Amino acid sequence: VERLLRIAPWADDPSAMDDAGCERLVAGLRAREPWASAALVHRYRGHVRRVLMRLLGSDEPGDAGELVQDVFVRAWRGVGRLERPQALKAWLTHIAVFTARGAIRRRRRRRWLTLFAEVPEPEVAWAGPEMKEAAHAVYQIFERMPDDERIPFAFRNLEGASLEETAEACGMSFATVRRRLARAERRFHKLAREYEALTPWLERR
Amino acid sequence: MSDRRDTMEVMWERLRSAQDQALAAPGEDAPAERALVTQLTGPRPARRRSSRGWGRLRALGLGLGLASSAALVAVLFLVPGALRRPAGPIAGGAPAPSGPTLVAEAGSELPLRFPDGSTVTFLPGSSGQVLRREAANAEVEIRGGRLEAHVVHAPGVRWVVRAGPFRVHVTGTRFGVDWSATAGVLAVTLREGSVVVDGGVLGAGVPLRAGQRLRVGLDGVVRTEPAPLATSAGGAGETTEAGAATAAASSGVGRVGSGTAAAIDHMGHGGPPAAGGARSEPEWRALAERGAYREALRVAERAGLEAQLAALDARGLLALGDVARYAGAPGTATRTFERLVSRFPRDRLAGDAVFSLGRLCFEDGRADRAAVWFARYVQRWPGGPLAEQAAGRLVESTAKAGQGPAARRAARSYLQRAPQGTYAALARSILEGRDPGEAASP
Repeated sequence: VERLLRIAPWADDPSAMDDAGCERLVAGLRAREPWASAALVHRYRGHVRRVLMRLLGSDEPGDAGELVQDVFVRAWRGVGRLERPQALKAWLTHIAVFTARGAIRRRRRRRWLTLFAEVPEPEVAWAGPEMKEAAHAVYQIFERMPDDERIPFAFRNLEGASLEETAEACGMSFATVRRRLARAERRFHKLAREYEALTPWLERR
Repeated sequence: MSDRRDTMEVMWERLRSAQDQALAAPGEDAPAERALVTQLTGPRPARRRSSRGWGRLRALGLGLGLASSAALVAVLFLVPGALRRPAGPIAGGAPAPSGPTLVAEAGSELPLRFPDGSTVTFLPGSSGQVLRREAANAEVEIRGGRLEAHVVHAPGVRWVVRAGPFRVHVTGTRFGVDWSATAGVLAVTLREGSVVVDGGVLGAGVPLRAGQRLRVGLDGVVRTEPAPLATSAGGAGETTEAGAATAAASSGVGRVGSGTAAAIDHMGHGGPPAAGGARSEPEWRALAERGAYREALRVAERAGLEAQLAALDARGLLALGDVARYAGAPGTATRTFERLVSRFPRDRLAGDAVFSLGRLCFEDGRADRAAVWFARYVQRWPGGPLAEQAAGRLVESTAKAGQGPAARRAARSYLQRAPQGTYAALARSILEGRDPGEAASP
């Protein structure tokens, strides 16, 4: 594996991942070249983990590790359907969002079946107590929101994405995503009033 | 309302930052990455199945199966030829297809003809792909095995052969490329013209001249050696490089053409004998041929570098300069190339030396000096084999040196010469007044 990673040292260089770099990588993936798989993982694993964490709130080694794996296996299998190799990162983001949505739905089903109401503690270990409580409240609210609102809302706000990027990542049209974000924001703020940890953020200034 | 929005923005930002810090925390990144890569590169990567339920997976599998069957049927009916991989020889060389993976079956070659008259032949058992096929831009990738190419020289035409992380930039020339993806070993054999090979461990690139073979492994071993004579038009009579190169890379022993070195020899075997001051010349040359560049340079220096610089012919000086460069002695390399340029200003090899001097200066952080050398190459050898590279590097050097007007002039000139060239994005960014950093330097 070390050797495979050395075959594509440019995978470490963000400037090398331009259009031609993406085309090269996608061509390698389509040809099932081992170096291309290594380069893909090396280059984008961090990004995929980040997207999953934004949407799920946690990055526990167990579940999130398996979800990261799911994203890459899906990408590896579906790379033949990628129409624009230059959009490799956006495409991976879309797969990660899709994978996170599946995880949210499974988690919800499991909770319903087991009457297990706890929401996993969001992973913000480095934050102060105030932020930790706020993060917990945010993800509890997310759990109460419909998926179609929660996912674009979380992605846009936590990833700091533009409307276009949010629409692309969530596989929605621009108009749809804008409508859902407006609805999600209203819902989030209404629910946020119920959480003491969020009061300072709602009332400040 | 807007106040509340502002405050919430701050909260999202802090939450984002806290998550980023959690992700950046030292963890088991490398093993996790390795495990994931191992899974993907395994025989059949499979997603975890423990907690999902087989029913859903089977349904998904069935759905995917049906979908892929439907897609296959659609492709077969709607895009005839899309899956027809030319497996056997194409009589006379059919127009080169663009897109699908090309596989030359065992026992038969796969010749391709390009609109500009260039030909690329995949030797039996080799595979690759035509990535690009435009009037001024052609790119072929070799995935494994060997290809032989004859590229017709035309001004402004950019020809690239890719092999894993390496790129062979071609101007009119005849050459062979062997690539073993599993061993990570590339061998480029040049029969006519010149090429520059870059990417991977080669960094800025290694120029090759006719009669040379470059072998580079992912372990960082780079060596040039005399090319063996081709025994057929396709070079099929040579030892299969993929296997030989693998063995050579793992053993660390270079395979020198078995007594059939080409007439033109990079290390100077074809040149006149050296004068008395360079008595140790055969010794350092022999060491250099084995890839022992540091030792070769030590021997040359022990015998008196100045005497060598005064006695060697142009070819010998070029070889010694390259030896110094590969040995990690840029000062000696610069001195040697400068001597070549001053002693043999009209020799075509002086062009190679000028180009190398530009590159050495650039690598040394002296972009302004590099620009002078590249400008000199473009001016003196406008049709030379490295002219496009030099023009592109001139753009890069002047930009890096902060010479705005000169960079714009160089950019305009480069785009006229090679609108689709390697440095075109950089040149355009300079002309559009954008930060050159936004356009990735090649």
